Amino acid sequence: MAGFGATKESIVAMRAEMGLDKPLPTQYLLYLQGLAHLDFGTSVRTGDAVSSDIAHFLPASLELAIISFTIYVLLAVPLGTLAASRRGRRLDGFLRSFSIAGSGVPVFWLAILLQEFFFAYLNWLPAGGRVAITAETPSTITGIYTVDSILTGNLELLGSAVVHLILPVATIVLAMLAVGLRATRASVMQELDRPYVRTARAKGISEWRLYSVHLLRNALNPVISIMGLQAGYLLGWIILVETVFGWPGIGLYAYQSIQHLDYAPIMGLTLCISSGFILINLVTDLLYPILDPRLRES
Amino acid sequence: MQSASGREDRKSLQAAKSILSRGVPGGEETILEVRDLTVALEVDDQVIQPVDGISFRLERGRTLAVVGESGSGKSMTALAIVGLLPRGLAHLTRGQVLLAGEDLAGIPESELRRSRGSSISLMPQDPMTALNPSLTIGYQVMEPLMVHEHLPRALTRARAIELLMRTGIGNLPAILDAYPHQLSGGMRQRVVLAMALICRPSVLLADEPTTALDVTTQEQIIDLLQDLQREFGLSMIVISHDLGVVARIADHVLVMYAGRPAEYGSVDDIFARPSHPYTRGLLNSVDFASYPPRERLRSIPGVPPRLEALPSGCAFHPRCSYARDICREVEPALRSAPGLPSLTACHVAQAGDLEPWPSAASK
Amino acid sequence: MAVVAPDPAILNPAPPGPRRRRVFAHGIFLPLGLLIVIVFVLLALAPQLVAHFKPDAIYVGPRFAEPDRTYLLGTDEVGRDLFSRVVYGARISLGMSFVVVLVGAVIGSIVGAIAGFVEGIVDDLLMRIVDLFLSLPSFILALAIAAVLGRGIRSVVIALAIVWWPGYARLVRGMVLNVKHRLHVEAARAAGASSAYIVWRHIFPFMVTQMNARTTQDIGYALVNVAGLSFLGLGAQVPTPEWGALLNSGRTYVLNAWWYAVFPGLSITLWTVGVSMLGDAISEWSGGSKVVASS
Repeated sequence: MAGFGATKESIVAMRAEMGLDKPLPTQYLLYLQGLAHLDFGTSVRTGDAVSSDIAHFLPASLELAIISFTIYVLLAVPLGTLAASRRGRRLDGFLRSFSIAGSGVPVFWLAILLQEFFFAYLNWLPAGGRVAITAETPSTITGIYTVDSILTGNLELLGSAVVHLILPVATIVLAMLAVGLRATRASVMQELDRPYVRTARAKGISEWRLYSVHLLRNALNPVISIMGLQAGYLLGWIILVETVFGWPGIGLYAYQSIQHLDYAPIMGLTLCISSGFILINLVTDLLYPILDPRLRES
Repeated sequence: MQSASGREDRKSLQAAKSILSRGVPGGEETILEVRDLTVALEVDDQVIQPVDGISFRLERGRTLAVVGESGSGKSMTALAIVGLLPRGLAHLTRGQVLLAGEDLAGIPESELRRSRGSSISLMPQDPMTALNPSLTIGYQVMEPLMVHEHLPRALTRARAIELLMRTGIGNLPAILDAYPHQLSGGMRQRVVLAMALICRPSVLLADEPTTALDVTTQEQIIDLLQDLQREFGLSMIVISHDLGVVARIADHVLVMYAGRPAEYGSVDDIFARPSHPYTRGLLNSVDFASYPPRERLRSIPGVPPRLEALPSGCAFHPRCSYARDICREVEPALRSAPGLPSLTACHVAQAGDLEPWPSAASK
Repeated sequence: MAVVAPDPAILNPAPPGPRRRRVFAHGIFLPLGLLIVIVFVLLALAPQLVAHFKPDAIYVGPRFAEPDRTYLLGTDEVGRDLFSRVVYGARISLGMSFVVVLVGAVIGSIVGAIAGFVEGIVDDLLMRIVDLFLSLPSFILALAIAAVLGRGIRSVVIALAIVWWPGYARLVRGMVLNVKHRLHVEAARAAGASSAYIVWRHIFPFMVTQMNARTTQDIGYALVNVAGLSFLGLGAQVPTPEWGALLNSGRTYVLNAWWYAVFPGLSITLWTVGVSMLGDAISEWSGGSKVVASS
């Protein structure tokens, strides 16, 4: 997928041209008017306003996306750093193969494979859904079951929610891991060659301090770029993963809308997800000056 | 993490050392002794020796200059001494590094780390790139103190300010929160110097301390180094290819060529009566106002050899106007030569056949 | 840069010994990638050579037969031989991805070339449009476009081509500007040569080498996207054996027929990996032989 990060220009252009799309029938004028009020129309299938549908299904997707991405980052960065601290030709070749293979595996296939293995074959994990059918859905505080169950002290529900999260989260993490590992490793290895590392070691600091205080803030720059890109892919993958695991989020909502050729939700979702993507890129852009003092003005 | 008593022992050892160092300047006590230091480096499936059999002695309060062209191995020697050779690529094959009696080459990395920055400090080359661009000056200067002596933060900060002031940096304490890219080259050099000295080490290895600087700043840094040396009782090893700097600051000089020692003696002897053809070549290529002026600067013909393909025997023989058969066959050892004040690794000199200096003609 | 005649007295020492090849260099990747690509392309062009059954022939065997000698990849819910379906599906899946990349690359190159050549307002305008596209998540965008255009192979191909071209536009524009800049320097020296001639001689080969690796790998990514959209029901419709659509059918039968979903996905993966390796090897290859402007 040929995605690049947003530039300040494009955000301005996007804001100015918000709502512009491909061939426009005249109905779109009305649609645009509605958009100004955040009204995406009504879903033919559910009969409800699309905006309320989206609001209803969003927390589930947020839960999945946030947990997956967090675990991914928490795995990729330390492991990549670890790999970099041990230079080795074989490791490099292995990671290279891993990342080439990893980028070739379609995420929806990976999802099905995991489902086949852990559910159909081993029956260790559920096939899908967010909680067991027998569990009572919690009173909605955030809509995020893991959080809500903790807040209401419902441990059984928490357990069920976590178990159901395992496969979808694992799918997403695995799909992204190869790239993140390689990017982190490459970046850290590059930093290790820089002169300030020798200066830092000459002071007699521990390797732990060297990596955590000195190296990472410099090495993370390109990694953040790549992860920002991946967050973009993630938004697309949510649809595919939720479909496979029957996860009741906006992805599944999108899939069902497609099945029924229900256009209003599809358009609404596209706009929402695109906005989310732009938001993520904005946040990523803001992170750079935080890490690199040379980029700060004043 | 060290035990409390271990920390205490180390602290008292540090204190003892610093008391001793404030004794009579120029005492004859040997503070650092390097014996037969040899490093193996892997380059493209070959193993070369960028440092080959280097030995010297550094007395308390004195300065040793290590001189040579690029690629002579002088920086590697410094790295080898503090155990900062590039991992996996280079390692010590032979030699001892005796700091106050303890062999740094023989102790594990975790122990060596305790001495690095605290008893023996390396001031790295090129201040422009030596600092971490994402950390404040204050943090980087305070870091050795934080790591080696766990003082309260206010005290650490105070010592950093004091030392930075001493090295000639103004705009304190504001500059503690500045970042390296906001400082000039000269200021960065002073910061790097402060970083190296903040734990009051007994030995300072200064790698090309003046190379990246303009002439005025060079003067200032040299003066600063000498002042601090007197004040702290510091013993210094200055690595440089700049003979002018060496002439001003060194007590003794070690000339290196192709990783091997060429000549070793006091600075006066090296400059007035060089006992090695390479040293002579170096002196010929520089003009000193203080020495008899020359009409022409003569460079040494040829180029320094690649370490993967060292000439047989004496590494310098292809470029040497005095070369004899034996020079092609046998590697000369660093020894005294009759009638000459310094130790020299030259067959011709050791045979007493080296012309007196200044020579009327060279090749 | 003035060229200094080398001093014969200062001779270079003997050149270094032969460098031993690192095992994991493009040694393994190129032949493997090439092999995979060739095999798949052959399957796409002449599926009847390998497949024993027609892809839409139902009940050639029992429903959900496990993979065995006759039905190499098993059968599906109406007794069709999955091996034949997968093999015939190659034509569709690969064909779609080829078209997507081809159309995207051509349109993108034209737009990028215009922007790079003309510069000025036209360049600004075109690049604004490109930036707009690139600031949106491509898969989602393609999904929306395909949904609007209606189901079917054509919609997916058009939708993905639309999403694909901006990347090429930016790339080509960059290359054109690069070569133009160098040409200005060259033109100052090599007086007399018509710029059009130099352009043809230099821009084109340079572009081609740079694009090769990228286009090759893109075919793999395009397939993943094509399959993804088909998986969601937008692209190839039942009973077309496009790999993504097969996966969509297969996932319903995870419990009864594990093979159903495994092999179409495996084909996608193998193709993408093979093409990736090939692209990787090509870019290393052409990286070593850059087109240098004659002086």
